[in-house]
This record gives sequence, C-alpha cells and structure tokens, in this order.
Amino acid sequence: MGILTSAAKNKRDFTLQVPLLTASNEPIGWNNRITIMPRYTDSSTAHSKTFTAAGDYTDPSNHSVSGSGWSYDVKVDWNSSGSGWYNYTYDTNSGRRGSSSSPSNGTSLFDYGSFVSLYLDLGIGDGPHPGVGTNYCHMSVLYNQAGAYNALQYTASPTPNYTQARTFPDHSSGAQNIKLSGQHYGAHQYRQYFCLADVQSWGGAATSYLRFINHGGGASSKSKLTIAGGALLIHGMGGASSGADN
Amino acid sequence: MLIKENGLIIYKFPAGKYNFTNQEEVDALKNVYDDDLELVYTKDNITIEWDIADINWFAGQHIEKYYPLWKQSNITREGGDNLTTMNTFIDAVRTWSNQDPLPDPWDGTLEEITP
Repeated sequence: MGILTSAAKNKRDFTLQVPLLTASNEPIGWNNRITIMPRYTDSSTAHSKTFTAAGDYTDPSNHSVSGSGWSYDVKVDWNSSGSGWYNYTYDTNSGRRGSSSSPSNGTSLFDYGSFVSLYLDLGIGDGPHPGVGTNYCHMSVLYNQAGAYNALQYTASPTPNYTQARTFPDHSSGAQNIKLSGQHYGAHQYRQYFCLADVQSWGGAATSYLRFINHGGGASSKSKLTIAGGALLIHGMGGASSGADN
Repeated sequence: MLIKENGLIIYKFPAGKYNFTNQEEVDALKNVYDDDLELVYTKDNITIEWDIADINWFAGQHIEKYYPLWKQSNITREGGDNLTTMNTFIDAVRTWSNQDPLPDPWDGTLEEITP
C-alpha cells in the first residue's frame, strides 16, 4: 500500500536532474573534467579564509580556466530557480493547477518546497587511498542571481557587502569555507557521487552558474579540486495536490 | 568576454560561447525589480570587456559569412576580380579587428564592412 499525501493520493517522489556544464557549455564528465587549483597553499590561511573583499570572488587571471585558476563557473543549464516563480497557467487540465479566474504557478516539482541537492563526482589532490584528511581542500560554492542588487552577494542594496557571499545553497559562514578530503587516482579511476548540499529551502532564482572557489590548503598535489561529473537535483512530489491529475 | 559588476567578474565566456548575444541582453542585467515586478533600481556598474580572442572570433565569423573556407579556396585558385574583392574585404575586417583599443563587436561597425 502506498503512502498517501494529505490530498489522499499516492505520494510519488521524483527528481529533475539538471546537468552541469563547463564554461564552454559542454557537459562535465569523466573525459571533460574541471580542475580548480588551490588559491592558498598555506594550510592555516586556507583554513580560516572567508569572503571579505571583491578579490576573494574571482581568480583575476585565470577565472574559469581549468587547471590554472582557483575559481570556476560551472554552468547550470536549465531550471535554475528553487521554486515555482515565473510561469502561471490559467488552465486546469492535465495537471495544470490554475483556472481562467485564478492563475497558478504551482507544480509537483515544488510541492516539497524548494528542495534541491547538489551531487558531484569529485577528486581532491592526487593519488589513491591517501587516508582520510591527507588530501583536502577548503572550498566554497556560490550561485549568481540575475536581477538582484548584486549578483554574487546577497546584500539588499546597491553597494555590495563582500562578506555577504551568496553561498549555495544557504548563506552561512560555514558555507564560505567547507573542508573536503578525498583522493584522485590516475585518470579519476575511483569515482562516486558525493552530496555537497541537500536542503529543502533553497532561495535561489535566476541562477545560471555555480561558482566554485578553491581556497586551497596545500600544494596542488594535495588540494587541487577535480570535478568529473555532477548534477543539481530538484526534488518533486506527486500526489500532493487535490487536482484530478496531480 | 567578461561582464563585470562593480569591477567583479560576474560572467566569463570563452570566445564564441556567449550566453548573451547583444548589448540589450546585457543591459537587462542592470534592472533590479521587487517582488511585484516594479523597477526599484538601475545599476550603473555593469561593464563588458572584450578580449582579442573574442574580436578574432567575431572577425572570423564575419569573413566566413561571406566567404566560407571552401569558397575562399576556389576564389584563390581562380584569381581575377573576385580575388581582389575578397582580399579587400578580408583586409578591411582585419583592420577592424586590429584596432587599439579593441573595437566593440556589437556596435554595428563590423556589419558595415561588406564585400
């Protein structure tokens, strides 16, 4: 017997998987890996690094240059808002939730809220089985928001406060400096999907990229960050609407 | 191509891989709306910077619009007035692309150059 929602219909989980692309609009994958170099090779500096100035947001010389820069924009190809926001329907057929007199922007995709996850296939440093914490980096993920006062800061005024980095998915000091450890064996032979973030209330909208910042921690052999795959997942739930087809 | 906000890179595109195709699309980034879609602020800090690789890409596209590579080969082989016309056109495009400071590929000056 299935689990029923409050609308007394069978609950159906589903996920929309949004592809992540390189700066050249190509799918990120095993043969199309991105390598983000450590900004700081000094561990204590990387350990405490947060966003305080404009210079913390972009490698001035090699932004989005794999293998050279410490910042890289991973493009979010489509569905870049955490909630149903822009489109309304005025129709009730085939699961559409509006009516001619009452338009609706509701969809099953957002019946969990703005539930998103970021799954990545990551490598860190070089070498297999280095032991937990041997190869590591301090990193952060930002998201841009077109139409906001500031694309990469959540400051609600024209003058950006550079300490208010628009970190993905939530804005917190912890998200400004995430320590990750891992390995990177040969041509990325050891692989897995890793969940970097998983939240039910992403506030993002009009996002076209995720900016990865590698604060570093050690030499590139220890702290370079390799992204060999990934997807932004939008989690939906069918059955929550009382509509005939939802 | 770099698009900056307050001098900070907010978009970077390799040559020919642009998600913005004209000035109007970039200018739209300047508008800040509230939740009721009322315009509450217009930014004056959005700027575009082109790189020589961008300019060369636009120049190459413009040349191949009129003279794809197969056509260039045929005209070069045949010679005559067509070759003179093509050379004059390509030289004009190269003069455009070699300007210092770099030209604006969206201001229409490149499109004014025709065979």
